[in-house]
Order: sequence, then structure tokens, then C-alpha cells
Amino acid sequence: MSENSSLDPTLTRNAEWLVLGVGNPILSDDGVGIHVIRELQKEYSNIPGLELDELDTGGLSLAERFVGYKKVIIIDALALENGKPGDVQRLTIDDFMSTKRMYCAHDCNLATAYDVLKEELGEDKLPDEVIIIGIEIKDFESFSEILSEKVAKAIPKAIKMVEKELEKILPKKK
Amino acid sequence: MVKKTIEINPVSRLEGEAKISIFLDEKGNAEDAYFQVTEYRGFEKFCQGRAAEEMPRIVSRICGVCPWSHHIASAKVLDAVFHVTPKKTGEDLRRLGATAHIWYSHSAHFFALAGPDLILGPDAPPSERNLLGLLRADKDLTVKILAARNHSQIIQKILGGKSIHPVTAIAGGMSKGITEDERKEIIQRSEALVEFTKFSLDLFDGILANNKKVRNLVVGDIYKNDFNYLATVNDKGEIDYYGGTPVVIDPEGQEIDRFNDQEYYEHIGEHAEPWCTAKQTFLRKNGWTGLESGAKSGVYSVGPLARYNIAEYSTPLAKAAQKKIKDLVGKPTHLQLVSNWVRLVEMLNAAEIMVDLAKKPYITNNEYRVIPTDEIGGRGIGVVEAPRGTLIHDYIADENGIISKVNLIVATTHNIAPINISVREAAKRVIKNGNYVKEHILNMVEIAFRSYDPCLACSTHTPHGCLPMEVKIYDKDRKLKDVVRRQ
Repeated sequence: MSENSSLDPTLTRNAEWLVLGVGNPILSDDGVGIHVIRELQKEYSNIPGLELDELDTGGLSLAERFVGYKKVIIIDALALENGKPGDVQRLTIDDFMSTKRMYCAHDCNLATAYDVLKEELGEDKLPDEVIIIGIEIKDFESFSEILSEKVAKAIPKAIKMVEKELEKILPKKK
Repeated sequence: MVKKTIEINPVSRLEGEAKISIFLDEKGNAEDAYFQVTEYRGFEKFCQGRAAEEMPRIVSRICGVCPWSHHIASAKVLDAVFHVTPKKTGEDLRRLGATAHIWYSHSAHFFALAGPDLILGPDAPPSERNLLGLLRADKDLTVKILAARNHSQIIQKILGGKSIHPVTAIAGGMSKGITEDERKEIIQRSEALVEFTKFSLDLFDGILANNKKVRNLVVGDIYKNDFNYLATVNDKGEIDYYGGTPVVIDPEGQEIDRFNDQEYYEHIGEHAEPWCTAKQTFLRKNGWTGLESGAKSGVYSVGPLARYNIAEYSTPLAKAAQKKIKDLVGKPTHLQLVSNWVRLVEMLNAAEIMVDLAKKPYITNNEYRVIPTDEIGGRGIGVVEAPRGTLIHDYIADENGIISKVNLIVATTHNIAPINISVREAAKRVIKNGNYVKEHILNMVEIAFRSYDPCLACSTHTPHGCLPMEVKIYDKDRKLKDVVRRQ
């Protein structure tokens, strides 16, 4: 069985770092993470050690995607209580561990899934660091490929925050 | 600062809480209860004016929990719009993908949601009743679960081009076939799924035999409603997850309707209520009779339990497994929580079907696609059995293949009325003359709707094992009396 997958014990990744745009690209602001990663792909596609990808599932499938990388940066939509659409913030996986509201339908939530994988596979298979660049969104109930205004305007800031993370691991850009 | 409430909804933007309204009568007993679903807006408008051939890829993104079912239903519509009939290879590759997804979706529900309650038992602390608790209790089992899910994911990736959102089903069949090596891999991995599912069923049978509390929960009549049922069957009366002829039975198991899936709209009506943004469906034969169960009601239920009640399983191991259920609870059964057991049988059935299909001599030939001719346009209807029940896609396209109308009836739409009834009946048991224990309401109501695995609202565990829920209780004058919350 040749195909690799996140849970294949022989798995080796071609990259050490993963940047993942998460969201549903046809559900308005929900797709903001996808918009951001597509922008980043223009600049960072061919850097050795770095992989950029899109994903639109949560829970176990999202956690499974982390396996085998040193560092993972997720860009995703956020809906915080009292949050303002367009706000961008940097969170870590630990922030999600402490919340009860982080969920994924029909599956276990990311925090549980992450713990399950850690216990099962061992810490060395999971990233040392998972950073979440979260963009506060407004509309995630309408089908559309267009972002609402404030959320669209937040894209450059989100890109900068991802770049700041990348600066820590990548050789300096010329 | 960020620790208070963070919602990150990576797939299917579900509302963060299950929202339930319970209405009391003059004596303070539950009279009505409604489970609120989130209806996404504007899907039809989003699709209008698009090229029909884009639809299978768009619809697979409606929802992350059953992308294959939408993808295949949509491809079946395109066959009609482009006036083309797939050959056996194309059809069976689609069937293989749809069936593989049944296994995958059910495995998530069973092991991440229902399983921890059942395997660890209802007395286990809520904080342990999740996949992590299961891992701590039985590491060997959890490792097997994750390895099996991995097999399933890889099979879907081979067939669908991508592991989550398939892109390969198109008008006339599939955009790619499979090689001999891929066939071998699918067989090998599907056989592993058969073995794992057999093991899971044995485990579950053992729990039922030895744990009285679990047995009472699963086969006790706490969650029992005499519904009519709808499922589609093949010409042998067996379940085909690729879709078949819709059949309706009454609570006694008598067939009351059977129709061509292309005429579903003459048999299934759609009803709107002011309190619910989502439409509810009903049997036209009986008319919309309100939220009542029973043979005369227009309400019917779909999903694994409906399929068990209506159809036979096509494969030997699933047939044998079904016999155990039949011996214990009969057929039809209205015990809603038996649906968890039936899900495991469907997983076995699906894995066996996958092995059979992958072994077909023709599955690797190059007849996976029939190229459409110039004749384009018209109405197309595609019906499949999704993990949660019958799924209907219905589009109209013009002579250029541009979409002008889209109607979808998803499994949860059929099930909204049954869910409301189940929630109401659960509420009646826990609210007596205006008295109730708050936590009891939450638990009873959660079990009532979660067994349907509804796909428009949250049905998940939080890290601490409980589901964020809000139950609003209204008095006889429809004034808000109490709000019971769990976060």
C-alpha cells in the first residue's frame, strides 16, 4: 500500500512546516482562511521545507493533517463573543484546549482529536507548535464566494501575521 | 483574554449551540417542542447561472460530513441534464465512492459520539465520554479505530481524487478510472474494514449482553415513536447506497407507497412553519398532519433505522448481523437508539459491498466515462442514500447547460419533524406539572436528537464531553419562563 496518509506509521512529510488555510470557500466569510492561503501561495509556493494547503474539515480530520510536521500555522475564521468582524488575532492550540466551545459537528472537536493523536502516536509525531491566525467574521450562513467588506480588508493583516511566523523559521527573504 | 468563548468552525458552519424551544400547556406539561436548525441562505441563487457541470464540485462543499453523497447525487442529475447514461464501470466506481463514504461517516458518529456513551457506559463521567476517554479506557480499540478510518480515507482519495471533497464524478460517469494496483489496494483496505467492523460489532454485542444499563438505553422504549419510514431499495428490496426506488412503510411495516424517484415531488410535499426557517417534508398521500407520529401522519423518518425497517442488507455478514437485531427488537422497530447498532451493521454492509465492487472484472477497464453529445438541458433528479438518509438533488438547466433552478432535500430535512416529535416526547417525560430537573432536560433532549445525527445543527461533544445547548421553556401564553443552558 503505497499511498501515504497522516496515520501511516512510516509516514514522512516532504516539508517541516505546514501552513493551512481552513474554511468553506463557498460559505461567505467562512472561506477567509482559503482566501488568505491563496494569496500566500503566490509568494511562498516553492520554498523548500514549507507546504501550503487548503482544508475544509475540522475535528479529527484537521488534527490528522498536523501529523509529521514541526510547526503548523492554521488560518481560519473565528467567531468570538464580542468579536469585531475583521479583527485578526494570533492564538495557540492551548487557547483552544481551554475552551468548551470549540466544536466540530459529527466528530470530536479539534482539542480532543489533538489529544487523542498525541496519546496514540506520541508527541514526536505532532508539531512542537500549532499557531492559529484567526480572522473574526460576520457572515457564515450565506452561500457566496465573496467576503464581507471588513473581513476582506483584514486579509493583508492576516498575511502579515503569517509572514511574521514564517520569518521565525525561514531564511531571511531577499 | 481569549479563553472565554472561541468558536472555530472549520467545516460546516453549524450554530454553536443546539437550540430547543419547549412549550408548556396550562398544567405545566410539555405540549410542543421544536429543535431549531440553521438553514443556510441563498444556495439556489448561488447556483443560478452557473454551468451545470460545476455542480458536483460545488455541492460536495455544502457540508463536510457527507460530501460524497452530494457529489454523487449531483452527478446523477448531470447524467439527465446531459442526456447520457454511464456504463457499468462508471456507475460502479461512483457506487464504490458513495458506499465508502457511508463507512467513513458512520465511523465518526459511532466512535466519536455514540460509541463513548455506549462503550464506556452511561455512568462514566461526562468528561470521559468522548473519543479521548475511549482511548484512555481502551487504547487498543482506539488505535484500531484510527487505523480503520485511515484505510477508509485512502480508499475515498483513490476514487475521489481528494480525501475529503471528491471531484471525480461527472456527467456520464467518472473523470478517471482505477488501475490494477489501485484495485488491489482498495480490496486490501476494504477487507481490513470488514475485519475491523466485525470486531466492532462483536464488541458491541458483548456490551449489550453484559451491560444492563446500556441494553436498557439502546433497546428500552424511552425513545420510541411509531413513525412511517422512507428509504430507497434496489429491485431485490436491498439497500443500495447509490440510490434506488423510494418505498414508504407505515409503523406496522406495511408498504404504503412506492414510486419512481424521478417523480418524488408527487409523493413528497414540502411544508413551511413560521417557527422554523427550514422546510419540513411530508407524505402527500397522508398530507401535512402536523407533528404527530403514527400511520395516518404525513410525518416519516429516513436514515439507517428507516433502511433497516424497509430493506434487506445485500451481503452475508450484514445479513447475519441484522438477524441478531431482529431477534432482539423485531422489524420494524421504532426504538430510535437502535439506529446506533444499525449504523454498525451498515458499516459492515458497506465494507462488504466495497470488496465485491472492487473485485468486479470490469472495474479497471476504461469505460468509466461516456462522453455527452450536443443534446443538453432539462430537469434532472438524482437520489442517493446518504449516511443520514435519502438525499434528493433536483436541478433545471437550459440548452446551454446553465442552471436556472435548484432544489435539494437533505436527510435532515426529512427528519426535522421526527426530531421535533422525539424531542417533545422526551420533554414530556422530564417536565411534570411545571417541575423539572434542569440537567435531566438537557440529557434527555440531547439523546433524543443526537441519534438522528442531524446535519444542520451542532451535535458534538465539547472537550468536556457535553454539548453546548440552550433549552427555552415557554408557558401556556408563549411567554419565556426559563432558559436552561449548558456550555
